Amino acid sequence: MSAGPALSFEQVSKRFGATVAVDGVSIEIGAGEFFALLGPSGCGKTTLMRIAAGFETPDEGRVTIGGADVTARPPHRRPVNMMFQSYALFPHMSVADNVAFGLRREGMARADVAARVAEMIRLVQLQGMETRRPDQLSGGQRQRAALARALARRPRLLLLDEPLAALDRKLREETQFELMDIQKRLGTAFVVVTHDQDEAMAMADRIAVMRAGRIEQVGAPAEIYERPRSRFVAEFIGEINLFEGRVTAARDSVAHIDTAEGAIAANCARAPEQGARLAIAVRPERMQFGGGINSLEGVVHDFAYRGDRRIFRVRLASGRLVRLSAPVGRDAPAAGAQVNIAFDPSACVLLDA
Amino acid sequence: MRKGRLSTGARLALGAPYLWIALFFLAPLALVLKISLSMSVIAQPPYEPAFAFGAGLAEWVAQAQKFSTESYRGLLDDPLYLQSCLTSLAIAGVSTLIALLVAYPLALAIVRSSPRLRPLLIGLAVAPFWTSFLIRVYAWIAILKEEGLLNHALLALGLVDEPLAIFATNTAVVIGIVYSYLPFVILPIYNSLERQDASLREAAADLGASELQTFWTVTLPLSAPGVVAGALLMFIPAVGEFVIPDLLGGSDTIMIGRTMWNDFFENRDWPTASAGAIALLALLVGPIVWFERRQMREAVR
Repeated sequence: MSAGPALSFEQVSKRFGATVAVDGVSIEIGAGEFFALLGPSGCGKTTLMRIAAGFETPDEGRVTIGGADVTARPPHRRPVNMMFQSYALFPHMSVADNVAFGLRREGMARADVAARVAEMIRLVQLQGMETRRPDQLSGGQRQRAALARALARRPRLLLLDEPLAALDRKLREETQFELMDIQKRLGTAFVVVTHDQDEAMAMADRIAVMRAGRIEQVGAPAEIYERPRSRFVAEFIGEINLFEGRVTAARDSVAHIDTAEGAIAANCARAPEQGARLAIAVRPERMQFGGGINSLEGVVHDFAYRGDRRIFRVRLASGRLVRLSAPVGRDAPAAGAQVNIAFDPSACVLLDA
Repeated sequence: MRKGRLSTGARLALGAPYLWIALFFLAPLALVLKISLSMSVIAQPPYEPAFAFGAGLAEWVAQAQKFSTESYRGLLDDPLYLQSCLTSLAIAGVSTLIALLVAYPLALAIVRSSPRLRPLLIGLAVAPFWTSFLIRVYAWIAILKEEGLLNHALLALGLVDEPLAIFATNTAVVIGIVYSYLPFVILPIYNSLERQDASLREAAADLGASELQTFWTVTLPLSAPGVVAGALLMFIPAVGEFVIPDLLGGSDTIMIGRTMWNDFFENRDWPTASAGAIALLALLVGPIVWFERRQMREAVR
């Protein structure tokens, strides 16, 4: 087996007629990594995955799997398997036959096939369901059967297209942990395509956020959440408050920005130019009631109860609504109450306006 | 509406198909069955017993006692019926096989064509229906006869030295039947292929199956209901086909439809012909019932 990244895209582009689905994407996904391609529908994430599986041929660029160039290889000759969003289980075959399908194509000996199928069935906990047909399974069981089938050939790379989209909420969370568990146990690189940021944040080691065929940002979930590199990423991942303004001064890695809500001080790695138009992004949980360095006045508009915390919407003097997330239990202001909200300069992320 | 109770309108709507079947299938069938149990006589109608309207119940019962199964026994004794029945099954069977081999690739090609082109191709597949069936069969005479288009073309191309004797043979009948029934086979196969989820083929390829392996392990098995439906839709009427063998076949092509026609119109032996019709029906109903049951079981699963 060759070394190298489990999967790499090098300047990959794909056009469908006039639309550019994938636009010069380069990513490397390491062996054993849990990677998520995240983006809104139509951002090109599914096309990128289908290029990896071999169902689409890129117009430009190179795709390698385990270091080997597979750009021109048809799907059935690629050392990669895919779990389809619809699961695509063969309806005329039992669960066991579905799982055995890929092994039989390899020409594996009967006894070995049986042993591997049993192992996979155990892995996804479908014991006793071997002889059932897909339409005799529940949604969650079908998902497991599809996973077992995709993993049966022991690929070094597994592609999962919206693996949890068809499950209901409770099951989705359970399944998330199971997928992570199985991934860790097998050491297979997982590439998950999803439009659900919570799912990506919960499961992935690294996330690539895609927009209009391009990669906006690649990084660990915490990095993407706390240090978004663009307004798009900041707004797509989680909830965020944005203040736009002009830089009035910048020194000692603190920028002072004049906004419609007043002057705001924000930490910055590199001092922005004076007079530059910027956006300041602050997560709701980084804002507090009370005084502080960046202090704004407002009135509580309403709040939503989220169990462990409340999400307040506060209308500022400028007329705009900001979101503030606070733990439940403290003496929280009621709707209509006059409040002061504050946030530390370190809570601010400066983005191009 | 109370549970288990249906409104009058709903009852009528549900009853309509049954009424239709009773009027146009069961009633004629009962008449044929009755005639098949009668005896041939030289009279008008050419069989007895005859049940006159208003004759009274006692008279009817007396007449009914004259029913016999002699016509059915006659069928078994008459080698012509057995022979023509076997010929019909063979010709219909061969024709159905050929039609499946032609129709399947056509249906597959239509399904795999671009969605914009598909309605046009389906339209072309059923286009022959816009012309009278009889005219199309006559056209085949012009094509297949010794001085016909086919032989002219083959001779001109130097592929044969002397004209092929196709017309008035079983081969001509098979060609005619395959041609006439082909759309009935294409449509159900197309239907079953069209309903297949495209991701199933991708899944097969993803799991290492070549195009050919994917076809044998996924596409073909999943289209089996369409293949069986198409085969039955063609085979059953083809067995009883009368016009095509009459026009394209030779004097030695004696299919069951021809034999019954002869008994009805030339020998005026209505009971025997009716017995033949009932026997043929019984022979063909078996497979249909089997297929329907199988479909039902599939649907329940």
